[in-house]
This record gives sequence, C-alpha cells and structure tokens, in this order.
Amino acid sequence: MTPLFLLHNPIEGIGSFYGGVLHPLVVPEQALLLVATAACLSQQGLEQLRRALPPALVALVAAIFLQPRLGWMPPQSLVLILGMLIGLGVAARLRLPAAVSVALGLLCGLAVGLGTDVDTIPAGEELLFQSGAGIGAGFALLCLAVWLETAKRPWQQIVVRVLGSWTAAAALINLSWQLVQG
Amino acid sequence: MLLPPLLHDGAGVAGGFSSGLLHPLTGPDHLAAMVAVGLWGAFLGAPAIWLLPVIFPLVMAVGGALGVAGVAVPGVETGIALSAVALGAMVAAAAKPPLPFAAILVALFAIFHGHAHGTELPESADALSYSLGFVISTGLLHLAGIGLGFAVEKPAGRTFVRACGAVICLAGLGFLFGVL
Repeated sequence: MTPLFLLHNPIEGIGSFYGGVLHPLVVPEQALLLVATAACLSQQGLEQLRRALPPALVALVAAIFLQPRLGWMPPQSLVLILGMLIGLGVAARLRLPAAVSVALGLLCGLAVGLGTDVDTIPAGEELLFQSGAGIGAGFALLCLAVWLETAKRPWQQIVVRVLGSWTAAAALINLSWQLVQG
Repeated sequence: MLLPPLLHDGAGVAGGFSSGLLHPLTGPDHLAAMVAVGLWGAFLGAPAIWLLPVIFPLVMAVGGALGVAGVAVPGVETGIALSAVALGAMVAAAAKPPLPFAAILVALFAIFHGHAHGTELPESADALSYSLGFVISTGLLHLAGIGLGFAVEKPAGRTFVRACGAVICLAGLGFLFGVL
C-alpha cells in the first residue's frame, strides 16, 4: 500500500490545496472508479449525462466535507467492486435507465468523497485540501465524461469499451490481492 | 518527489505502475503474443477487432487473480510460448475461424499470461497501480498489433502482416524449445 503521506502530499512542497487536487489521481481505486463512472455515463448519451453529473458532483463535494464528521471511509474493496462492475458495464456497453445512471453518479461521488480523509493534513489546512480534492475529482469526472461522450465514431466507442475492460481487469486482480493479503 | 527507494523497488503508486507497465514489455514472449492478438483481430475484422482486446484483459485478470491467490496452473510458461506459436500461425495463415473459436482460443491463452503477471506481482508494489500498469501495457500492445494489422487492406500490407505472424510463430517455437 502507498504510505498516506504520499497520497496527501504526492509532490514535496506542493501544498495542501494542490495535494488535494492530485489526491484522486494518486489513489488508484478512486482514479479507477472515476474513469469507469465517467466512461459509463458517457455511453448513456448527453441527456442522461446532464441528469447524472450534477447530483454526482454535489454528492462528491458534500461527502468530502462530511467525511471528517462521519469518520467513516468506504473499504477499498467496496470501491474496487463498484469500479469493476461499472467497468464490466462499460465493456458490455450496457444501456442503463436514467435513474440507474443518476444512482451510479451518486455512488461514485459518495465513494470518492468519503474516501478523502484529512487525517495527515496539517492543522488548519484541511479546508484547503478538501477544496482541492473536490475540484480535482469533480473536474476529472466532468471533463472525462463530457470528453468521452463526444466519442461517436465506431473506433472511438471501441476505445471506451476497451477502457472499461481495463478498469474491470485491474480491479479484479487487486481484489484478489486484497483477499489473499487478508 | 517520491522517495528514490520507493521508485526503484517498485513500491508506491508510481513505482508499482511503472513496474506493471514494464512487465509485459520486458518479456519477449508476452510481447510477441500480445501483438499477435492485435494482428489477428485486424485480420478477422469487426467485431473481432474490438472483441478480442476487450475479452483478453478480462480473462487475463482471472488468470492474474489465480496467480495472486497462489492457485497453480500447469504449464504456464509453455502456454505462453504456445500462445505466440498458435496466434502467430493464425496470422501467418490468414486464418479466419468462427468468432467463438477465436475468442475461446485467445481467452485460453490469456489465462496463462495473466497467471504469470499475477504470480510475479512484487510484494512491495502498490497492487492496484501495478495491475493497472500491466493491463494498460497489454492493451497498448494489442492496439499496436491492430495498428500494424490495418496494413492488411493493401496486398503488400497483407503479405507484411502475414510475415509478421510467421516471425511471431517462429519466435514462439524458439521460446518453447528454449532457443530464445
């Protein structure tokens, strides 16, 4: 496992805000879930994307700021299972009802937000870190989903499906690793 | 900066990712077979061209999980060498079997490749970034094969791709008999 201090301060001297921005990218299970969710929502078309993204972003930001009060983080295996299932859906190019897309967006936002803890952040800089984490994860989800939605050509849609199979595969191997490690 | 020891022994997110990314590239048997999957997909055309690169990582992950869990799969190295022989031969012969046959053949070999990657997962590495690295690396090798395979649309390109298949098949025989 990556030491916590590297997750929260991946580049020496970068500061709490930018450390927060980079946080979802240096926590692989969060990056994987964000990519899988963005790809899945993008496959559902612009209309569903418009419905699913705002609640996802609100859930993300709310969960980030509520995390220290709740003191609960979703287990890594739960985030990986979610990422694996969504990745399989992307590989199979599942068409989802609008309500399911909204629920997926919410789940992703909550999982990433609640997984962003501030335990090792210097006192007084928690808000900076949380703001950075919200902006980093939010922009990653938003930009990736909108960008992938523009993938209309057949070969581009294949690339999105391949992306789904990669995320599912990586999550599955890691889940087995966790199972073995206990 | 990540601490230098973490980068060099494959630990941490960056170290784990780079170790995983390099793993399929540093094994010529893996590399040859992955490119052959892409080449064959291009030969077979749609839907195999996208189905094979989607199926392979998923089944490879199952093999990887078996490797990580310590479940023995007999003849892994032989299976990997045979994958280069068989897939190279399919490309060289411009074979176009029914899609289910191609998918099952590729999936079967994916188990061996995944098992090897899973077994060699470094203790110190961040497991998820390592697996992301080797899955992405494998996928990029498929895409490289598909890219080369697009040459089949021209007669000279078709000959070139078939020659690539023959080279991969011969290399596979070399791996199988320990010559390479």
